[in-house]
Amino acid sequence: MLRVESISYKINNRYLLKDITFSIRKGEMVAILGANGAGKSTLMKILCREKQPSEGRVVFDAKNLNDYSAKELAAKRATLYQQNTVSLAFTVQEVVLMGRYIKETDNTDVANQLALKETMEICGISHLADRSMLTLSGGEQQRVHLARVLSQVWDNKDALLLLDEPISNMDMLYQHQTLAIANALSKKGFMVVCVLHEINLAAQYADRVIMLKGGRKWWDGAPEEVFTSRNIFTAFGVHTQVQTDPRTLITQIGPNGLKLDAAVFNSNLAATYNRRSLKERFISYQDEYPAKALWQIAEALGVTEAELMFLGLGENVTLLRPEIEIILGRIEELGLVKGVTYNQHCETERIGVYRNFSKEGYTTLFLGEDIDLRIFPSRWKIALAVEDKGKESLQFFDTNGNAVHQIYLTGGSYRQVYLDLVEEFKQKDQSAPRIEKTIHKHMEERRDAEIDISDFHQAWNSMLDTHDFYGLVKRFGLTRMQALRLAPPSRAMQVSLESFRRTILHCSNIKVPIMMFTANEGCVQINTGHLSNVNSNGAWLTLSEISGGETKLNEDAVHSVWHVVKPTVDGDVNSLELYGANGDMIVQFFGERKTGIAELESWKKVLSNSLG
Amino acid sequence: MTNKKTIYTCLTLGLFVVVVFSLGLGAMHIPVLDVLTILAKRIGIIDFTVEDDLAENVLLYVRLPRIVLGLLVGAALGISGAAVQGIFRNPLAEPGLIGISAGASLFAVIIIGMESLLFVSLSELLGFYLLAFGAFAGAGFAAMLVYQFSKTDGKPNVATMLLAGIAINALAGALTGLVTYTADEQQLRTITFWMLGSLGGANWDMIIGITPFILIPVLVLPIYGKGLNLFAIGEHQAEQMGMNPGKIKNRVVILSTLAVGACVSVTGIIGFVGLLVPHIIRLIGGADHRLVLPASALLGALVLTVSDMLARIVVAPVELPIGVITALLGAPVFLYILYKDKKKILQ
Repeated sequence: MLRVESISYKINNRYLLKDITFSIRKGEMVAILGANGAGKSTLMKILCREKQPSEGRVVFDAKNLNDYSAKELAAKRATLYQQNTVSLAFTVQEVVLMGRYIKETDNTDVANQLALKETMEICGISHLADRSMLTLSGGEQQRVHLARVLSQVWDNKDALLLLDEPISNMDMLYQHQTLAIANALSKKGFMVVCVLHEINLAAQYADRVIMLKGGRKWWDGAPEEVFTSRNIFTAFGVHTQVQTDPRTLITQIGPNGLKLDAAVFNSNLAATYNRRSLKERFISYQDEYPAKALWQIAEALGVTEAELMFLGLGENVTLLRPEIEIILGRIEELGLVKGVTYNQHCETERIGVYRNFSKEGYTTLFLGEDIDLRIFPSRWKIALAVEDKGKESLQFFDTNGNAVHQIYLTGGSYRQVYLDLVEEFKQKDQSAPRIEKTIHKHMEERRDAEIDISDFHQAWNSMLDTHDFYGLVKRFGLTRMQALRLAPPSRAMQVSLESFRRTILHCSNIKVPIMMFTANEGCVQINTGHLSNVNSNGAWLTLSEISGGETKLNEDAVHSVWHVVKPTVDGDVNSLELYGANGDMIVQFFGERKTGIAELESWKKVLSNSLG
Repeated sequence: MTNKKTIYTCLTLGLFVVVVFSLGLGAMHIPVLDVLTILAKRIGIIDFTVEDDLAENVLLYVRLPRIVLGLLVGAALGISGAAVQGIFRNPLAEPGLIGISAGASLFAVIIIGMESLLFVSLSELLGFYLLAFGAFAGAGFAAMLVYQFSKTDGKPNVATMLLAGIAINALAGALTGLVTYTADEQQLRTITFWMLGSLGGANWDMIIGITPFILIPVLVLPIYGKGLNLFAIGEHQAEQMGMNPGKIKNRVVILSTLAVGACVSVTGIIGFVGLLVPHIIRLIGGADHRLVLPASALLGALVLTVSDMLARIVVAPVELPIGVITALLGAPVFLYILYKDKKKILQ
């Protein structure tokens, strides 16, 4: 029995250990854990009598530790130090036998030979017996010293075994082997005290754990008592998940990894390092979630979509001069291409020719049969030509690095024209442009009381065109949601998602042509025609237009659906508008219509039927 | 075990052969048979003699004392080298390199230089022993100094050990130089002889004088073989294995500096024997000090006898300083150990 009676140890009036008391019985294996500087090594040095405690005492088998002679103590206590260096060319066997010198019998003595053989075998060094210590690796040397320490007390069943970080140099097998040996010997009557860093190994092999913190005993008990998330955090400052293996009932501790951003503490190296690692993360993320959209990956990796695309610069991505309108004017020459516009919750794609290019104030228009686009070119800042898995495309991003529009080549495209176009507009300097990471601020809603409601109602009722709505909202300093809420009577009604779906299905069934507006910061793409198919896959609702246009929307993101009526010179125009939780518009639906012609009666009818 | 016996047998036989040859060789050649006859008669085994008085006189009063001195000094240097390496736990620790010999020689030179001023009566009283004790004190002082310097975290650090050795060698050299200015011509001659290192001054009185200082360490040091083995693992570790490291360290250091001091007091500094000899033994028989200590004494005697023989005959009738020969043999070994094991040794 080893009794540690309120020992303290101080140097220069600073306590390294303070008032530590515990006792260890025969047959017990005790692990001592604690952070660096918690006092583990000092405690071990006191236990092995290398240091004297400033206060308190250590009693070993009913006798003060200091009353033993070196020889007496060596016969019943063996210590494995953390660091053991042998710089003379002793053989492994000679070193192990040094543990037996205390017996003062000849090396050839049966007990010595048995101890030698058994300890070398169990420490896995039999094959090294005649090798010089100088030729061994750190882990092998440590195993030799373990064998030496074991051989010293091999035939004393009451021995005390002190192991100071015995496994720090060892490979996985011998980490377990060493602790298993210690545990097995404790079952033969040894007292084992072992300083460990590996918390899981302590849980697996120790009968008892003493946790030190700041030189004091923080906790003492069975591993399952000591190893709680809270204790571990207190001692080590690491958050962990603690579970019990249902089969072995052994406590398992899974530390939550720490994540540090190199940019925070090493700004000099950050740029290139991040770029490389971002690429790796991008690739592995794509592999892991092949179905995720680019903006989702960008969000997950904490970058913008454009920055992800820049990773391919010089490889599959070519930076074009941002002469947006000139490029757009040339798209028609590519022939049949696929235009794609998306925001976070809705995506429209449609194959067609970019016909009827025109400009109207700040807006650029394509008024083709299939490609019907409203573009705000001032928002388009970056143009890239991308070749990805055989698909070639022109991709455009806004100043914040968000995708605004993409044009993919199809089987009906003039590829050579595309290649010439890319060559012509290729930017000389192919280094990634800077992305301004301005955080998109949502407009603060003004208080309803500050708004001149009657003026607003009058302005609403005197709209001449649906496009006027944008200006209206802006003029009164409203958010779109606020405008809908404060709308004149029966101009904006909130309806259910269910009634929206009914409307769509009706339109599909009775062939009412509709227009679907998918908008983001940079453009609006309009998908017009009969719905040939309405398909629901999980949260995603896919609306297929008969000539191939497709609009997909995420119903889970829909926060509110509004039926909005806007007066125009051609009469009232009805629309269904879907909004997300933050008030952003997801998608808008109209009946097919052309300027100068009144709204389709069938659309009006469907609406009144479905919305009831 | 047979390995051990073989090593001892070979060394003893080799030593005998070398001694006999060495007795015969020199400015005056004496045939091997004559050598054996003269010796046998002297011991009293046979009763007739070689009809050559000159040969007998050269052999008994010139060559024999010189060779006996060589044997004693060689054994002392060999065993003390091995012991000091055991204490420093490093094969590069050699009394000459780390300043122990220089300390001894400094003290001896001081005694010679100051003789007329201070020690007249003392010197008359103690005679030769004064010098031996002085050298011992110097050696012990230097050894303790280097050990204290080289110890970091309870374990000797080789780099600081060698650097401290350089410093002590330089300091001792400078102080010795200073002393020479106060010396008269007779003293100067003695001091110069010292600096070179030679067995040339051998005579029977001298041998009788130093024998106890050398025989005691050579016979007693091997007792500490086990202790030095444990020491090789570390001072603290040795204590955990039931040894009193402080006791062993003190005794071993006292015994080896006693031997080194005695050697230096009669032959001056003979370098590298303490490095070369234990290294060869470890190569052949392993690092166990129970073998290395006695075998180093035997091999040291052998190496020094051979070196002295070479010193006498290479450019006969002129003599080379023996330090030249031992340095030629030993310095390359030093470099070799450095080259081969630098990572492991210099940690």
